[in-house]
Amino acid sequence: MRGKLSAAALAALTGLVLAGCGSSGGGGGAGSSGDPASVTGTLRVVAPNFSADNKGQEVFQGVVDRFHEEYPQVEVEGDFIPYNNLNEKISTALASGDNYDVVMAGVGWVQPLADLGAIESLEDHGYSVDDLEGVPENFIDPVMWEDELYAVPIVANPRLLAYSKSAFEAAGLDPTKPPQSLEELREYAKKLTVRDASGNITQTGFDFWADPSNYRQQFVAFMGALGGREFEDEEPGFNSDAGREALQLIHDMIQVDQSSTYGYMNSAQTALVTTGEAGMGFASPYVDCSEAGIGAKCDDLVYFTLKDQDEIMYSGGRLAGIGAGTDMPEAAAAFIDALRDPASQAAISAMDVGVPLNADAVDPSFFENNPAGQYALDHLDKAVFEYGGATFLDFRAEFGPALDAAILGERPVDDVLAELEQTALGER
Amino acid sequence: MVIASEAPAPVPARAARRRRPSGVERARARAGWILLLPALVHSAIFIAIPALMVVWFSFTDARVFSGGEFIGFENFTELFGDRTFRGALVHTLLYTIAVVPVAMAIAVLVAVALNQQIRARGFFRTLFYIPVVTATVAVSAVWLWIYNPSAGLGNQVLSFFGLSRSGWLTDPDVALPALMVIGIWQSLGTKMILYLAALQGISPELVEAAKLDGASRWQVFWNVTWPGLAPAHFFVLVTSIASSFQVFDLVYVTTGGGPANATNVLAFDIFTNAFQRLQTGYASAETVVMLVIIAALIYLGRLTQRNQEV
Amino acid sequence: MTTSTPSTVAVTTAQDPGAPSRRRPPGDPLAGRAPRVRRLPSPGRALLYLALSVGGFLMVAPFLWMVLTSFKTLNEVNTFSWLPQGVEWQNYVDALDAAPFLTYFRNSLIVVVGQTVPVLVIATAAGYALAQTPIRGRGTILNYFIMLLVVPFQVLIVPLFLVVRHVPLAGGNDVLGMGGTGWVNTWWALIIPFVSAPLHVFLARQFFVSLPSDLADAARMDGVSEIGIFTRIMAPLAAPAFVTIALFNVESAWNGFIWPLVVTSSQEIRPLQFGLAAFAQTDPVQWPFLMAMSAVATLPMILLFVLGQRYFIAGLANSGIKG
Repeated sequence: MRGKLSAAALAALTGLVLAGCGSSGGGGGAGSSGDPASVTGTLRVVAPNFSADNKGQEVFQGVVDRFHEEYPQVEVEGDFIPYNNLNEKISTALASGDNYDVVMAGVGWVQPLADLGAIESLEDHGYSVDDLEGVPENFIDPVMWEDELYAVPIVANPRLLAYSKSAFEAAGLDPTKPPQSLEELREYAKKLTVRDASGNITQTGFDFWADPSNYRQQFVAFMGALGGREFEDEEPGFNSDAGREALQLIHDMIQVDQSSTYGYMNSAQTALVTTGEAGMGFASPYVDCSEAGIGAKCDDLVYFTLKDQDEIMYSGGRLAGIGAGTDMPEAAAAFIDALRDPASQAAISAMDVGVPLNADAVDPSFFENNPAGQYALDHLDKAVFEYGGATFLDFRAEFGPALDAAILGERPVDDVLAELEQTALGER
Repeated sequence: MVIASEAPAPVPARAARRRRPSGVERARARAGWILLLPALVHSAIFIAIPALMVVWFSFTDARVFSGGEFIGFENFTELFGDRTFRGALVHTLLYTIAVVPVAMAIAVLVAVALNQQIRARGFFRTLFYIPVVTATVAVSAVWLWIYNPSAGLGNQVLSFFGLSRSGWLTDPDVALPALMVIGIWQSLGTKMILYLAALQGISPELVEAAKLDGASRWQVFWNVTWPGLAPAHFFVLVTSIASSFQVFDLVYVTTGGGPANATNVLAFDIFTNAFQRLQTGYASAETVVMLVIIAALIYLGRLTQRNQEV
Repeated sequence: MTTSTPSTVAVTTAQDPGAPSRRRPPGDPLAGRAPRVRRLPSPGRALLYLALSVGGFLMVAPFLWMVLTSFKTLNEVNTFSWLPQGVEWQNYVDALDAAPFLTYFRNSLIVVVGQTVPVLVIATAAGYALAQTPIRGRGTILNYFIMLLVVPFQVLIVPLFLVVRHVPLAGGNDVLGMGGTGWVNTWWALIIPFVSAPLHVFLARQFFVSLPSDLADAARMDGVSEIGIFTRIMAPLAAPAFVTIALFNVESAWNGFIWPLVVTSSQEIRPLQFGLAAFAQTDPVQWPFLMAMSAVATLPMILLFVLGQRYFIAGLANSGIKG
């Protein structure tokens, strides 16, 4: 899944030079200065989470309508760009000083952008962590910077794990028992690997669902199960026993056991366990169990979480923040509220292959044909993320290729993680 | 009848430098300037100035194109100690050295073949042009299938010949050569068009005359056609070197620079530094180095054309 | 007689070296054409056809796959295959409905035409000037254009954006280019930066360098002005160059994505590639829709090429170089 979750970024930039936005200055609580109904102006929103097609426009319009209930006279200008190109858009926006009032991004970018001074602390505009009631606790830390709230999570984009009951049975495993530890996962993977006469894999034992240089999220997941976190309090935590063990395990599963082919993805880049090409592996939180989708295969799939010391589920997430220096901070905050509205969350999740964070946002029919989504929703409290501190961007660019080197056996695990730690600490 | 491969204009100009240009010459030069000016002005505003900005940034520690302090040559010294950069440089050089000559040679052959009177040559020409306009997504999908480490066409061919399977794009040792093949495949169409266009400019009387003089087909090709293609060669050489050095889309869509940076090339590394790490100053310095190297290669390429007036 | 030999690469022109006695008199407009002889292809010829067919198929394979996949259902795409199981014409209809493609097409068309027409004029004029007029320092100027050629576009994106944003007296800017948004999010930004390109100037120059100057000399003696020589005599000779430049520019304008991405923010002026990107970045990727619209997007360029490559020969026949 090249780049979809990893290219998220967008700091709200707002260095608007234009005069004429009549709202009173920020610094007060939301809505406390000036009557919202009479505020005019244009709110610029960069929205990579909304696809540029008609469906995405509809969902966005829904959010705008909700926003207009509070600020009816403020025009909303949405910039719909593909997620992978967020970087280019931010750079030009930052460079020219024509910034957005509301920025939507993904987990991981909050800290670097806050450090660059591109997004503002939400706490200056009346938001506090208490406003995020209902959001699972583990989603709070990724949006904090220097103990202040800088963005608000909207939906989650988890990666699930699944196995095929029939594959388990064929391998002599109990189809009602998912692996309870990483060692068990490894053993199961070995048994689930099926090869043909010439030794080629015809059924992958454990599908990492990654192409080369993109094993980052899988590593974070494995390390999470061993109790490690990528960063803790903005300090690197991956150069630890948990990190080393996780990386070594991935290396062993791929190179020693050969229960999967390194970097292999099918033509459509979908999860192998859902197409029947793997007995077990990572999977999407969206699956279509109707006839038009994978139909009967759904009954064969069982979702599970990674367990070892901790029980975890890897997740990304969409969030929204206010651009630094915006002229309309209250309006921007109101727009963010509109995004967090249960109806908005439901619509965005459906469009964006995500899961709403707000329990009220669950539309039962949404999960009717989508047991994956239901499972993800039930386990949001187990989410671990890929994010860090101000050096996260530098670190992330190196992370993927460095993991490759370890997985391919080119360099020892210890060296790789130690070097990455130096980058993360800003020493390289 | 003037022979087509000679460029007549430079001769009088060299003579003109030793004496004052005549009124006619001045009038011609003035007309020339009028014709040249729009392109010159446009390129200055929209390319030269941005390029100079990049050079400026290379001496700063700017992030995201704003602010940044002047830090002299620090970016450059850091660059040369950067293992990823050095790797990208080597990969790019290798890629260029492999792709440019091979693609040019094949393109000449194909253009010559498609310039003959054969049936359906318009159809064949279109076939060879299509890769140029095929959506990159489709190109990568098919080539990723060919290079599929499990059951792709590539491995099927290898096993047919009794050779062992290869990881292709997932094997750090094979990934770059595999990309070179795609690069050659992709760049044929453009070169073919250029050579086809150039072949139209070769006087048929010349060929006829050579034949009547008893020249064999090969001699005709080597002594009449090949020199006649000299301006085209120079153009194709320069643009091929430039575009091979700048290869980006191919890498972005297929390997993302991996595995383990085995296919990291300069343009991709610059992109990573500029847009993923948001280190503008550093990326600009890398760009400057890249420009210097390409300029050097092109200069060398020009030297090979020294004996012809191009 | 010579066509029956195995070697196939020697002949370069449109004239088939058949029996010399069939050569037409000079000045005959059909002088370039081969005599129409129907006979079985020689082994050399047959080999040539075989090589071209195999090569051609390799070239066109991804395109074929693209078209075939546009008729598949999404599930079918999981495993790589060539032929679709059924023909889902509905994909085309659904894809067109999924995003405002008509608007996107119209926008791409406007941008392509808006760029290509000026480019053909500006670049060929400059190329001619550098090739055939006694401008002092034209070698240096050529080197300047070549140098610009090697600057990769990605690094230019942000500085160029800044230039476009600070165009004086546009989009609310004052005389110094401050205060407004310049050409950002307008047609100007999509068109003007590309109405000339060093690549095209260089190409035109190379082409004009290979043209003989005796026609120009004759016209000069007849009193035609320099610029008149360019427009009336040299330009018509440069048909292959025109076609080539047009092809290149249309292709890059039609496929442009990054620049429109950063310089526009509203759907009304965004081009075709946006619609395609919308399909490519969903999860799962909407392969059939993406392939359908990509196929449709490719058609104009193929059409342009088919028409243009015929013009290569027509250009020569009309050139008047002979005699």
